[in-house]
Amino acid sequence: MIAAQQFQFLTQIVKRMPLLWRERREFQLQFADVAIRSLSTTITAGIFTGAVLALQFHLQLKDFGAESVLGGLNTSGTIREVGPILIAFMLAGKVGAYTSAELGSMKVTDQIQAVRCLGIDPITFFVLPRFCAVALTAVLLLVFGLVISVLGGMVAVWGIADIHPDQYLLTISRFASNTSLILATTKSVVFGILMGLICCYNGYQTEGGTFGVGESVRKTAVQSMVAIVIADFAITSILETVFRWLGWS
Amino acid sequence: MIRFKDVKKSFGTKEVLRGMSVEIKTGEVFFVLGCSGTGKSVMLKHLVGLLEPDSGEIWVDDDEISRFTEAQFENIRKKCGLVFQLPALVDSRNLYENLTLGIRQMPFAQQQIVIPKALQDVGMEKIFPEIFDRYPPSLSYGEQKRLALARTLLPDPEILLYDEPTTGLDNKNALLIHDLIKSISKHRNKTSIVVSHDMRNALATADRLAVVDAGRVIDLGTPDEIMASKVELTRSFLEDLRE
Repeated sequence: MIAAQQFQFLTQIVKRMPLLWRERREFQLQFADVAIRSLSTTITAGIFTGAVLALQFHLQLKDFGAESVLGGLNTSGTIREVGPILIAFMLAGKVGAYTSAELGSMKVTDQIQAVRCLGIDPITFFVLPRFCAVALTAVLLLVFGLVISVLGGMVAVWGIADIHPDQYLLTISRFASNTSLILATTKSVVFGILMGLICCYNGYQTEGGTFGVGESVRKTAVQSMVAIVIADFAITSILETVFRWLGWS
Repeated sequence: MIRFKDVKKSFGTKEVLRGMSVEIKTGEVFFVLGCSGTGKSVMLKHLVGLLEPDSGEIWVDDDEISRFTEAQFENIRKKCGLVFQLPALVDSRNLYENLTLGIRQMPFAQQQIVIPKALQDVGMEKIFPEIFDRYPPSLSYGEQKRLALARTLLPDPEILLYDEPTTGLDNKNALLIHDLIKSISKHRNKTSIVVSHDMRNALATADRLAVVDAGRVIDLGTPDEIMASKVELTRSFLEDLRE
């Protein structure tokens, strides 16, 4: 039911896409704000996601004397699965919650109604620039976070397991193929759109004063994480099938 | 002319308007008084399409608007400007952008003619040019209210709707807002509907008043008629004034 309403809300946003140029200044401000505010979170999440996975792989591979493939395995695992999902969780908690709270506060203080009374479409004015900014920054930050996570893994195993970066990088192309990049990029795009949609929808639907704002933020956090996990499973299943069908894996 | 004819509106099981009937003449300052939760604000929101009645008719001049679509309300919203109980300035936009929200389609040169006049009407013509790139939270609550009023005036609506315009203001600022309502109504020849619970200022400002209770008009008249009213709730409002 909620998913159907959110899908309907998404169609309303998509229909208004050509009007984004009218609100380009708000879009630019939101984009810069979201990107700057989330950069440190993305870098931190990226470094430690890559590092922790690298250490885990190293512990298991060294028993088999297969440390030479660590770079490739870790990069593949990070960018295909763990990286997108963990970084998306972080961004959903930060960017999604913030945008939801902002829109919710605007709703309960009559800012959205006031704009409507002045003859302006509130979805075009408030939601469209925020949705586009959140979705686009989330995609870019996810891709950036994945690159950082590869570097994080490399630095971690160099410092702890004394595996030189050259050796680490050597096997990346063997394991992290084009399919890994397609998977990671697809997930980043879908997670970004889901985050933008869920936070804007919950913020825009806020009712009931400050309590309602808190409720919207809570819903955004929970729904984003559940949606990301489900989307992750769906994308992996679908794309792996497509890759097998194409003979790419 | 605005007419509510037996308008009913419920939220869930709570009946808020229970057959609201009242007529407001063109050009008058009309006050709607009543205790909290009696449906005063709900009445105003029906006029700009923020709420739809369950039954009854609402007329704005020759249009029966109770079943209007969102697109049809476009013209009604040009005609009726609503000043909200809260200032409702958009926090993410600067003061200039807030002020010009209702006149975004107007050429810049024309905006520069109408803006000073609206600011003059709300007594902000001197301070505004220096602060136009600031954001709403940097203003005092009273200034935000006045700016919100200027924003509503700029598209030049024929009918001004004020939802508890003095809520949260001290006596001095409340009086200032009432003086503004009166002077704007006279100088710009606007119909004004003011929802309030401030009987003292209402008697001083209104051409006519309605007292609302439980979603119905229970008393109606000029300030003199209201002063002489025998209706119990009206009497209790008047007795509060004497204390």
